[in-house]
Amino acid sequence: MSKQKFLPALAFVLCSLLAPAFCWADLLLDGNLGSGSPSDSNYSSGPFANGAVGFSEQGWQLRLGYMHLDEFELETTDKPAEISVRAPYLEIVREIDANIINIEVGLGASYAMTKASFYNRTLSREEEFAPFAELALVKDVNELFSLKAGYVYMKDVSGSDISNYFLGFRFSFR
Amino acid sequence: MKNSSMTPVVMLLAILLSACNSGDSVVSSSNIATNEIYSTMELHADGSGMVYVGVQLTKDQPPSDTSSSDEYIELSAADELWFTSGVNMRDLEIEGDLFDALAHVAKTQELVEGTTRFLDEGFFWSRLFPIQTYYDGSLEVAEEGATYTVSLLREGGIDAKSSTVTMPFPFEIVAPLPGETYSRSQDSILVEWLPFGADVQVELEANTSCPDGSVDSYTTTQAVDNGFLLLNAGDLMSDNLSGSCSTSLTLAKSRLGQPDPAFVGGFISAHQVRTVSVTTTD
Repeated sequence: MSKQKFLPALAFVLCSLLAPAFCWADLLLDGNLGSGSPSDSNYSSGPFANGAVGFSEQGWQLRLGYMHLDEFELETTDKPAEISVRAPYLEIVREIDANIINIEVGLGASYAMTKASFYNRTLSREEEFAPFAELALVKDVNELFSLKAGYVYMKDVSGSDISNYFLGFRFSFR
Repeated sequence: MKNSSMTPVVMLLAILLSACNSGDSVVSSSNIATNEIYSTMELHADGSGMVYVGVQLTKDQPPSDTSSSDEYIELSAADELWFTSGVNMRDLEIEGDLFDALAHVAKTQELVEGTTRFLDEGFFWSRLFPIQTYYDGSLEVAEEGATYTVSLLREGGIDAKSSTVTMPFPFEIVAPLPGETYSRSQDSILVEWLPFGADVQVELEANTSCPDGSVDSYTTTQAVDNGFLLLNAGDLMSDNLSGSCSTSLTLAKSRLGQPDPAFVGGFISAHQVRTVSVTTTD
């Protein structure tokens, strides 16, 4: 079986097992890299990465993903003090077709796992739900591949809001 | 017969090797129980906004001139010294706003780090032997009259997490004024400071250095802090000082604290230190 036929077939099998209602929807694979900044100005920016799998149907997307925000360093001291966040999430996205480029607006809930480290020792781990919003611009390069740029705003992750800017890509299997 | 004739040679070699090693060896804390450790801990603040700590750990006895270097303890990877103006690191819990809480922890907690040092002199009030292994660190000054804690935290051993001392209140030397000139032989110098208070000992060291390279120091102590100390005419005189020299007057207010009882013994003290420099002549 060729690769072009295999991936949609795999997607169909997976969706049949996981979410039968979306079996006839498009399967999406997203990957993004960027930078995150906490609203607490005592901390530095840190790298942001996320990956998601989702389904698209009639202008709506449902995504399941994982965000990784690494090492916001405390800048008011020379001592090594960092906060990092891992956050699996579920998101609903509305696609808005604007001809040349598509606009996507999303709302989601993440399960933020926040770790505070001091001198490379874990001081505390917190787990809590944190809502977020996303705005992205998506440009289709071809049927399979798209490029993305966007912004994710996470609300109240262990005391600080976090703004993330990213560039990314998408594979769509229709 | 051959064996017996070799024995003195072997013994001599062993002694020589032992002598060679004794100069730079230290003992690791890994095989030393907490109740075999004597801890000497000193804090001082100099008005710069920081509090400095120095810690020296020795086996069974306080550090002294006669202690060999292998009586000074170097911490293994399993042991840590922490210095705090808050809760000791072992009992510290943070939650809620982690960003804010971590910033507060960084202000109030310091991992005291160190290694073998080769400073040739310490502070005049100090009981540390800085030419030997010791540990040091610093924190931002907490509120006036704050209590500071030094903690030895051990994996697989008994912690000594609560050696505490309260820092004397900050003060300023109001007399003499910087740059004033006094005769070492004919003038008395009234050293005054504000504020003054109870429960501290006052020590003053006058260090004089002259353009020809000659130096001398004079130290005096008073058990009560009444806000002044008088240096009598002649106190700063020395045969090797001549002409116009620079004299720094360093005043230390000292308070003792409580070493953790898990140590075999210990000493913890806190010192507020201020210096004023004047000119002295014959």
